[in-house]
Amino acid sequence: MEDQNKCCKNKWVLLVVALLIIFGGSILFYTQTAVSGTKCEAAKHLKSGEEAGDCYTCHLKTTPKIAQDWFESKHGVMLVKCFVCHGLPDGTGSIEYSANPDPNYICRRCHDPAVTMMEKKFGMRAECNDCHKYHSNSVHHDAYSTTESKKKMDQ
Amino acid sequence: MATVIVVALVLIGVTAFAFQATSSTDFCASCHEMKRHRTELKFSPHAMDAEKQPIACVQCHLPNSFGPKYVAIKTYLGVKDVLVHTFGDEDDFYRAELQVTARTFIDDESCRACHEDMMKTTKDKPISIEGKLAHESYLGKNGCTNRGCANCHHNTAHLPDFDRRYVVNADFAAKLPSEKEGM
Ligand code: HEC
Ligand code: HEC
Ligand code: HEC
Ligand code: HEC
Ligand code: HEC
Ligand code: HEC
Ligand code: HEC
Repeated sequence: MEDQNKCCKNKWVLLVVALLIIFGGSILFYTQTAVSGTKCEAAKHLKSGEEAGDCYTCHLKTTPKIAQDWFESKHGVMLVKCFVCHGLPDGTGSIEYSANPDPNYICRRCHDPAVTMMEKKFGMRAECNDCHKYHSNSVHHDAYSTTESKKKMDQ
Repeated sequence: MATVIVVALVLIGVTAFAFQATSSTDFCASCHEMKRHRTELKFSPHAMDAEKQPIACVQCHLPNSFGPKYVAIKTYLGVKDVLVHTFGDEDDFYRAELQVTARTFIDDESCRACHEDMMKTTKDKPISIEGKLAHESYLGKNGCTNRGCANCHHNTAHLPDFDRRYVVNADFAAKLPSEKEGM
């Protein structure tokens, strides 16, 4: 009789643990897949007729923070324009269009000496955005304020 | 069998009560971490709805209707909040990164409950050309975008220090007390 009870208790614990794991697991899975907003297979850029060439003006309205960061940065001041790094959204530019250009390729085209120098200092680091918090804002985004960059600079 | 059903019913009851009780603005702001969000909300364009009623946190942060999405988001965000509040260090409350997470979990239907006509501004005027192009893209009529409302419209309800220097946020920033006074 006692034995049976014990085994039943264990079964209950197992059942509850299993249910919790299934519940937790499915919620994690759901939040990782269903919610992370993919509405269409591939994001296409706006078709906009005449304004197509003027990235900055349209982006000042559509992604105002990125546009302002760029405008105030050294790249903005030196007129290293959006399409120099991103290419043209319709794919007709001399480099491939990319929302997330490969820094090791794109930045080296102009900054090869600096990158080589930094490689000597820090080892190979492809993600330029991780650092540079001291010369704040020289590329747009939060490139100089991420937790990642703080960790790296403290080392 | 009867015990199982009773246990299940009690569990559902407790969960429903917990969901209800943890969905008020006061509950959200009862952790010190969220106080600044309430202060910021108070000075944002989203302090009051069209009927001059205060807008609650959940009106944006949780889906409008109850369903699997609601349960999933509520549980995920809730468990994360409790864990970070209890065990987290300061870096975990790093707002720049939190913004990204928060934006992912904003359900567009929540925004559209109040913003039905996407071709009009909030002042009932026709929207700007850029806005029209962007919204048409959102609606799938002109290209298509992976972004939800909150991924294009930043700082609609909150304005951390590091976002205050942007020209788009100038009006909002001018209304806010400084971070220290606000806390
Ligand atoms: C110096 C090169 C460079 C220039 C110039 C540049 N960008 Fe970027 N941009 C990048 C890189 C690198 C990334 C990817 C970084 C990342 O993932 O955070 C990026 C990402 C982006 C993104 C996606 C960000 C997101 O949150 O999804 C947008 C939008 C964007 N850029 C717009 C622009 C616009 C508009 C301009 C001109 C006003 C511009 N960029 C100029 C390098 C550049
Ligand atoms: C078309 C050439 C070009 C490309 C491509 C380019 N840059 Fe630059 N970058 C410049 C110029 C020009 C300056 C200003 C140089 C100066 O002031 O000495 C600059 C300045 C900088 C600075 C120094 C800012 C400061 O405050 O001193 C950094 C950091 C930088 N770029 C990073 C990047 C990164 C990261 C990429 C790739 C995503 C990139 N650049 C791509 C031309 C380029
Ligand atoms: C580990 C952090 C780190 C990473 C990753 C990093 N940088 Fe740097 N970068 C620095 C530091 C620190 C300096 C200043 C070096 C100095 O003055 O000795 C610097 C300097 C520079 C400069 C010269 C700025 C000036 O004022 O003249 C450029 C350009 C630059 N980096 C571009 C890049 C590019 C492009 C990448 C990606 C391939 C990159 N960095 C990745 C930390 C980093
Ligand atoms: C009008 C809709 C809206 C309301 C109401 C709202 N939020 Fe938010 N919240 C957002 C959006 C959108 C973001 C994403 C970050 C951004 O763009 O500002 C966010 C981000 C956040 C974040 C993480 C990023 C950060 O700024 O630290 C927290 C925490 C948060 N909200 C808490 C609250 C609390 C607490 C309330 C109620 C007092 C509330 N929110 C009310 C829309 C809203
Ligand atoms: C409870 C109703 C309600 C909800 C939910 C709501 N809004 Fe609003 N929103 C308003 C009202 C009312 C205004 C007008 C404020 C004014 O006239 O100053 C407004 C204004 C705006 C504006 C223009 C003002 C500005 O911020 O520059 C934008 C953009 C906006 N909302 C986007 C959003 C987004 C994105 C969401 C979802 C995260 C959202 N709203 C959720 C009621 C709502
Ligand atoms: C692809 C980017 C994008 C997406 C996604 C997007 N919007 Fe917009 N929205 C814009 C732009 C650009 C404007 C015009 C801003 C301007 O004229 O300064 C705008 C304008 C607005 C306005 C009018 C603001 C005012 O000045 O009164 C409201 C309200 C608004 N959007 C709500 C929404 C809601 C709700 C959603 C989600 C259903 C959404 N937007 C999705 C880019 C976007
Ligand atoms: C007519 C307005 C308009 C013009 C002109 C424009 N863009 Fe955009 N762009 C947008 C909007 C709206 C989005 C956000 C929609 C999205 O992400 O799908 C965007 C998104 C982007 C992104 C990020 C895409 C992603 O997947 O995150 C990049 C990179 C970009 N634009 C670069 C450019 C470049 C480079 C040019 C100039 C050659 C340009 N844009 C011209 C409106 C414009």
